[in-house]
Amino acid sequence: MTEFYLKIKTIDEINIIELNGYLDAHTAPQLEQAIAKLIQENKFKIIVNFSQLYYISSAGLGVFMAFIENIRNNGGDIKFSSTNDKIYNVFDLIGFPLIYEFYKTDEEAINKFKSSRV
Amino acid sequence: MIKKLFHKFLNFHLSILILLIAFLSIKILFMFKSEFWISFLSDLISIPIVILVVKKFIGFQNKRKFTQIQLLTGFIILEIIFILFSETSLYFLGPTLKSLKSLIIKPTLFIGIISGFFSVVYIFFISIILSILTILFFSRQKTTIKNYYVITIVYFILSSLGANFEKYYDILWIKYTFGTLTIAFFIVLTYLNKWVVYLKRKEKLKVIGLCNILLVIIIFAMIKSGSKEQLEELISLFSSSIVTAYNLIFGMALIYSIVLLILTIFQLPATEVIEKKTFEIESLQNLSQMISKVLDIDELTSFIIQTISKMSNSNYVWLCLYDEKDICSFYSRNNNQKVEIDNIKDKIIQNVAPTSGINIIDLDSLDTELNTNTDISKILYIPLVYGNNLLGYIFLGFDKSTQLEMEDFNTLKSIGEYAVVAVQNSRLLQKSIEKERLEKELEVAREIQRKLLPNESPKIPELDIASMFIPAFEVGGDYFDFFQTKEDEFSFVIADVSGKGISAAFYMAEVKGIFESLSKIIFSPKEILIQANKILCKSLDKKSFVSAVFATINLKSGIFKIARGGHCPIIIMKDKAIKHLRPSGIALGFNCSNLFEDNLEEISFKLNPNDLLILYTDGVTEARNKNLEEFGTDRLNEILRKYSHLTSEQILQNVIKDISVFSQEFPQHDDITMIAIKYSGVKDDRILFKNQNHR
Repeated sequence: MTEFYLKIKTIDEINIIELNGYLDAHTAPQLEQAIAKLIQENKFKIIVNFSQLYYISSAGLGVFMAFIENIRNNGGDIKFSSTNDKIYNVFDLIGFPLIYEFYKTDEEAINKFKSSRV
Repeated sequence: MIKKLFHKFLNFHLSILILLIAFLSIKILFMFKSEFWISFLSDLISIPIVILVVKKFIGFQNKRKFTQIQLLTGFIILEIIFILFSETSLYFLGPTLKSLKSLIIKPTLFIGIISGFFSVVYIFFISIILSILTILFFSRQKTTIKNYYVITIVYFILSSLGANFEKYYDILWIKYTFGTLTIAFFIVLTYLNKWVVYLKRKEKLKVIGLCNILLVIIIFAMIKSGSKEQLEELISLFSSSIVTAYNLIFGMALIYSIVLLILTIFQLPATEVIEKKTFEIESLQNLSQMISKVLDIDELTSFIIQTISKMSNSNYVWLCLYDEKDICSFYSRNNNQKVEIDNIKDKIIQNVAPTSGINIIDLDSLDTELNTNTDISKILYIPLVYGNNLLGYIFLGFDKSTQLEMEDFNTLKSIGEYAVVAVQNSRLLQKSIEKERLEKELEVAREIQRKLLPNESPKIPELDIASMFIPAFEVGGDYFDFFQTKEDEFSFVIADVSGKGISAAFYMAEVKGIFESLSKIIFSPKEILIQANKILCKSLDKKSFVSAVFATINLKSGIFKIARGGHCPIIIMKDKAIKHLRPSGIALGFNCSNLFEDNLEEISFKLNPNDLLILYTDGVTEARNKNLEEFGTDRLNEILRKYSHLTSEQILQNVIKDISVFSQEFPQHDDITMIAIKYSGVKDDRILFKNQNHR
């Protein structure tokens, strides 16, 4: 039920976190640690890929809120990509699209990072 | 002090002893003639004295608990003192004795006193030696030797008494028969002696040494010399029994030393093996005790390290246990040792192969060195494996000369197995304590939540209100409330605090306080949410937020106003038509700038009689079954359509029934909250607006 894992890959200094499974109060600390580690390594450009995520709870949403201020203050961002309808609906209800950028694919998000760098 | 002495005086044994000594003195002073009945009288007085002294000595030993080796040493010292005493006194008395030799046949008072004095010293000496032998016989004795002992003592007394019969009546058999029997029984007693077995190797070596010294002294004391014979003659003036008893006791001491020496020498080679086995068994027992007792991992690790250190004869033992982050944290006897392995531990861990079991790494092959100059040249490691999990390692440092036998490996292996179970147990216990604590905490959280929610739905003529709340095991932080702040205005709120457990419960309490106070002073749902957001922004931590819907209904006009901050849509049913209202709005505590205000929308429309409002938290739509399917909005819509003709209470009951049928035994992971409100129109038949326009 609470099976969850994540993979991180880096493309051109942009870190893509791919989430898998169920992100809830029990699995959220894994994501929290992963992002905290990226920040520690001064990696502030983060894309979160939701294509393999089946469920996200309020605790899961809280993880992004916890770091966004710090990341943006350091010139980085968390961008979301590949959210399926269900996940997007959750984000939408809470009001995430007003604060975070959502993209259909990782490439779009990467391009956005690259274009804003110039 | 005086009182104490007085009490001691009253001591029964002591009184008898004093009485006997008094008798003895009288006897010495007034009856010094060499006659059978006088000697016999001396014996009758001496025997109880010996018995009493032995008893006293045993009583003293029970208090002080001298070890066998101490007793043997005492034996030797006593004998040396005694020999010195008799030799010096003989030296001084020698000439006198020679000149007085004739007087022995016709004794005077002077001779009587000298004879009495030596006799008392002999009696005392015999008593002490007998005491020591007695204590040695009974120490660590499991079989009953009491009968043998008593018989030996009886024969000993009889044989001694026989001496006077020999002297005065030439009856030899009494002395020699009982003397032989005494020695025979004594040999049996000596053979039954067991305490040597329990001694450690070093102690056994000491015993051997002491026996040798004892033998030399006894043989020296037993050699007959002319002056010695004179002394014996002098004593036999008092009573010949004492001389016989003295010789017998020396014979016994001789036999005891010889038998003890032989026994100990024979047992010596096996000692080390027995010692090691005993220690191994004790350690394993201790370890298995540990499994059930120790809670603290630090205590457990230090015990394991100590045990292994003792069993392996290695001073360098390290234990490393993997933590959640897969870092092997090291435990050792002291910090110095911790420092020593710091340098090489990474290399060692790289080089160990957990599947190979116990193995040895040569430090030379690692091209690295220990921090300090220790003589460790190889490191033995024992992987601690539990099922498929590697818990950690035990490392032992050995010098070049140490040769490890197959047996040592097996013992260390079994200790390693015990250690695994103990560590695992300790961890599981820790976990279950933690779990219990969490459960208690959750209970508190549930209690808080239950007390903060309304007990029953308000009774308002224009509205049919029902609410339902089913808490999840881990409190979810759902909140709802009803307010009637003005006569015609009814307002209500439903909210969901992010996260779970006690923090969610406390935030929920705060949320209740905020809405309760704001609802009294502000009457626009949008305005209330804006103010609530401002307050929550300050107090919530970064990753927490609150989704909420605040709504008001004007009971007279049926005007319904609503604002939504990140919460689930509001369902409105008019006849069979269902609408999910989603006025825009971000969750509270999420953004503290104007963004919240700018994006918050308040909508209003007019309710008609029989219009049904349903508010819920995500626990409803996200209820799951065992296939991890969610209940979803479609199922909810379907149910509502089916039951919308019923009362609010009945509708909710049917919804919950369908949810539980859907999720079956699958555990509920979030709070489920639902509010149903049916507008029944103005009861006093006031004209209703026909306007159905709404967003």
